[in-house]
Amino acid sequence: MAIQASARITVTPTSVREVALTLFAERGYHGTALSQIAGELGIRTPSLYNHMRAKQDLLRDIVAETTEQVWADYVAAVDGVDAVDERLRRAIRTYALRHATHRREALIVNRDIGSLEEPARSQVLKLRRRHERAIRGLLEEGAEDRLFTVAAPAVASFGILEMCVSIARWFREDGELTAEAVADHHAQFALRIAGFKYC
Amino acid sequence: MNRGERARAVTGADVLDAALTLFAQRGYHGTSLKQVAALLNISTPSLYNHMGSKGSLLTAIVLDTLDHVLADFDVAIAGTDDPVEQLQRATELYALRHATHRRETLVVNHETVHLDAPVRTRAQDMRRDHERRFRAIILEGKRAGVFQVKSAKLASFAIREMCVSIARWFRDDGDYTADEVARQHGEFALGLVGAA
Repeated sequence: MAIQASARITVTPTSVREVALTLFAERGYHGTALSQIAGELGIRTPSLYNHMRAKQDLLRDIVAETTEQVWADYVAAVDGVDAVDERLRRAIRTYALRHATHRREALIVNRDIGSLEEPARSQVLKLRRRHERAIRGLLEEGAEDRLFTVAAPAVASFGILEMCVSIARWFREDGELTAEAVADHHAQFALRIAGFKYC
Repeated sequence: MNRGERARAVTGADVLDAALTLFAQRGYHGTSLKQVAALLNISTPSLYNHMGSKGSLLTAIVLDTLDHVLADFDVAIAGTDDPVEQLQRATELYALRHATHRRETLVVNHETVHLDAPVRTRAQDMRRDHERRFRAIILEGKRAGVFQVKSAKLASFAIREMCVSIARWFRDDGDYTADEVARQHGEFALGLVGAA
């Protein structure tokens, strides 16, 4: 492959993905054309195919990896922790933190899953459901132990997760609060929604 | 307009309803007027007998929905000065609207950016107004010592976004009715701010 003297940066699959991440997050999957990705990279659209296979593959990789990371975060957060309130606190803290530190990924996952083709879409939805069920399970466990007073764990788990998801929409790095502080606040909100008395 | 070949004349309200369904499902940019016309079983040019433009449909949907959201808020805080009661009622009505008007609220949340400049600014001002008034209840509760929450702003964002998300997950045939979900969210809000 000839090196393009006009290229601003060395184009690699990583830089293609990075540009796709920014554009998908800003304009949505359907609102982003491959010609725009190529334009950002300073290359022609056909040359993009040296670095990727299809727009759908870019979306699939972003969504699948992000969803897998969310699950890995959860497993790491609760690993070896006994108290259910502490597991909930850590699980929500890490989930909130990811939405502050990986905003583009989170926005894409939440808006563009519908644009994924099968079987990727079902796989991703299954993993998301597993995460939601795990959070709901913590709420149910805490309620059974009479540590939490929440009456409807299914409604609470949606509410808690969605308030974290929204962080990706409003959080700014130069805002009043750091990502860590926002994550701590949301972990406390979650425990309070659960009706945990000691927080 | 008489359309002898049709069982029922298409009205402006029908056009708005079809646009609402499609905008909520496919997004504003993902919806063509051709699709709106097809859903109504009329030709695309005849659509113009019932509407101005695709943009004017979006404008009508967004402004009307935000009017209702602000009117709900007025109803919620009327007749009481108690921040606990105000926050609970404001949250319940906001949650309820997102359960009962899912298409409208989804369109407001996803498509406001596609409005033309003056209307977009107006819609954004209305949303900011709602957030500011919502936050004011929390600040008042803090001042009165009935809420224990460090950041009123963060609490207000979290409560409102929790309610907004109802439009994404709520189903009419689900385990909980819209009223039950609204009531739950009222309790979540009071818990979240550490209401005494």
